[in-house]
Amino acid sequence: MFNRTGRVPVIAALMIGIGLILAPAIFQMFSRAPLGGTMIEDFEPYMVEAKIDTFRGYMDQIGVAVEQAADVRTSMIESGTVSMAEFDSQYVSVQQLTSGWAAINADMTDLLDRMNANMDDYAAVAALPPFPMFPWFFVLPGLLVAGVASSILRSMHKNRPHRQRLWVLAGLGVAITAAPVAFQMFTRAPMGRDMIDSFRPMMTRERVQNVQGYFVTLGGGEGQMRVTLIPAYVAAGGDVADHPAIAEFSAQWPTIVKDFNPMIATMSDNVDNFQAVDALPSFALFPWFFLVPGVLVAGLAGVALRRQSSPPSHLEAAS
Amino acid sequence: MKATSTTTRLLAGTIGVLSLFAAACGDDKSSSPDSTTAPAFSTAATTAAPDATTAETMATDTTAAAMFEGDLVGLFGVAPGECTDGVAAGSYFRMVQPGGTKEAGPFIPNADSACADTTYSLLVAGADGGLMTGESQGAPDPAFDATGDGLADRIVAPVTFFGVAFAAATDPTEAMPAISATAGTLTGDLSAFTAYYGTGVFNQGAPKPDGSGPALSGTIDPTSGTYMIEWTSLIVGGSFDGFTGVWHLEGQFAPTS
Repeated sequence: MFNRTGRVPVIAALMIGIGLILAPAIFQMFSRAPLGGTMIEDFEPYMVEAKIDTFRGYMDQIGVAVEQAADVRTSMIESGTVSMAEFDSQYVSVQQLTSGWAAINADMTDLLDRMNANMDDYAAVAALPPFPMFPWFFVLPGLLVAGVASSILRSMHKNRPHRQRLWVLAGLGVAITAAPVAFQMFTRAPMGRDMIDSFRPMMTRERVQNVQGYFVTLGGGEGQMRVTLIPAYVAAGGDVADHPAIAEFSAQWPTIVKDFNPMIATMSDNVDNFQAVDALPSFALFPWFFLVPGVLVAGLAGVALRRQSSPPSHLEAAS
Repeated sequence: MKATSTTTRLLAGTIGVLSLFAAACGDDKSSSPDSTTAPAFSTAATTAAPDATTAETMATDTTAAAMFEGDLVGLFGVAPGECTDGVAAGSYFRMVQPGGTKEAGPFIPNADSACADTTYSLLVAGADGGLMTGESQGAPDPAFDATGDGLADRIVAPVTFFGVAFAAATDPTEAMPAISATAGTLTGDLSAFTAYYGTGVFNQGAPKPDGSGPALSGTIDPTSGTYMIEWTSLIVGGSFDGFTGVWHLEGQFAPTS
């Protein structure tokens, strides 16, 4: 004779175990979580203060050069070297840079601000266990819970002793409950959520294409300043010493390309990765995905233990 | 009977005359020793340069038109790009912005271009003289100098683009470059063609290594070996994701000797 009411909590624990096993498949974690790991790795070189400062320095330097290019334009027009219309048609790339710089600067600064503001959040997420392991944090405990619960049910059915396994089930529940605490998920996961929320506006294909477009505008403007505008300005009697930032910008440009190129590539290559991570349940919920099932499994095992300890009612005894 | 024998003689005579006429007017290729030279020569282009004797024979042979046929293994020499009256000729590179087409652009202007139309970046032959088929022309290691300039210089000399030199090579880990000619039309596999720019590596193959994307197109003069190859290749991933490179090579093909 086995205690039928004692089966109910074990069956419930079995269902929770199966739920844990299925959760990663339901949330497509096996495909999405590794992409998140790739994104975290790729962004690592840029999520440091010094790198952000370097980029800010480039933006400041370009800003001064753009101002001085505008001064050159004014000077050439005022001296009668060219008319306003002639300047804007002959130096169209310079004009595109000077007229578009405010928008470029604002957008790039926003991007750098977002990266800068999320450095701590990034560090917290990077300190979590490797992303590709995430699904297994559900599957493995789920398998254990389901396996132990099944074993208990079989023993109950055959009236074999199973009290020790109920204790094992309770222990598993406690371990699952403790996992978020052990991995500091309650502090780190909300930071991951904040980072995802903050990166969402910048990790879109449209935004990345805008940044690619800025590169074209910057490169076109720099090249035309260096190759045609400044020589024409000097030929017209202008003094480049009055506008040193332009030459400095040109001298620095290859380095800017070398630094910006991989960053744009990182953004571009991780748009899909970001969207995969963003499609996962909110990071802030992750600790609860362990805590709730863990508490339930431990509690259900406790209930089953208690019922086993209690003498069967006359009805149960009769059955 | 007399009428019959006269008819028979006339018939026999007519057949004889027609046979002689046919023999006289027949295709020399089918009867002369040269007839075997032509197809042999057409494949010879894949293995060896014609020697002078053979070339003389070919010069007097109308079948010399088949000289550059079949698999063309050798060097596609790169004639330098040049701009005359604003029109680009020779070998050049252009880059189409995302969403554009090679016919209508929009193209990225390269202020460092020698052309009035700065969307053309002119190419000149590299250390090997051009693009080789049947052999990879890989990039050096490292592929960039300290400033991010590409260093590969075998196919074409590095070209300044936006103040930074881009370079081209054929990646030895991809399919061996191969081009073949059929009646003056070129087809082939340049999936290994790769550009190096600003520390970024961009496949510029036609088709792409996975077989997607457009193939190269081109022509070759079957007698002189003067060729033109053109292809476009979408950049997938990296900082220029969505941009399309347009490559146009012209010059003289020289088979491997």
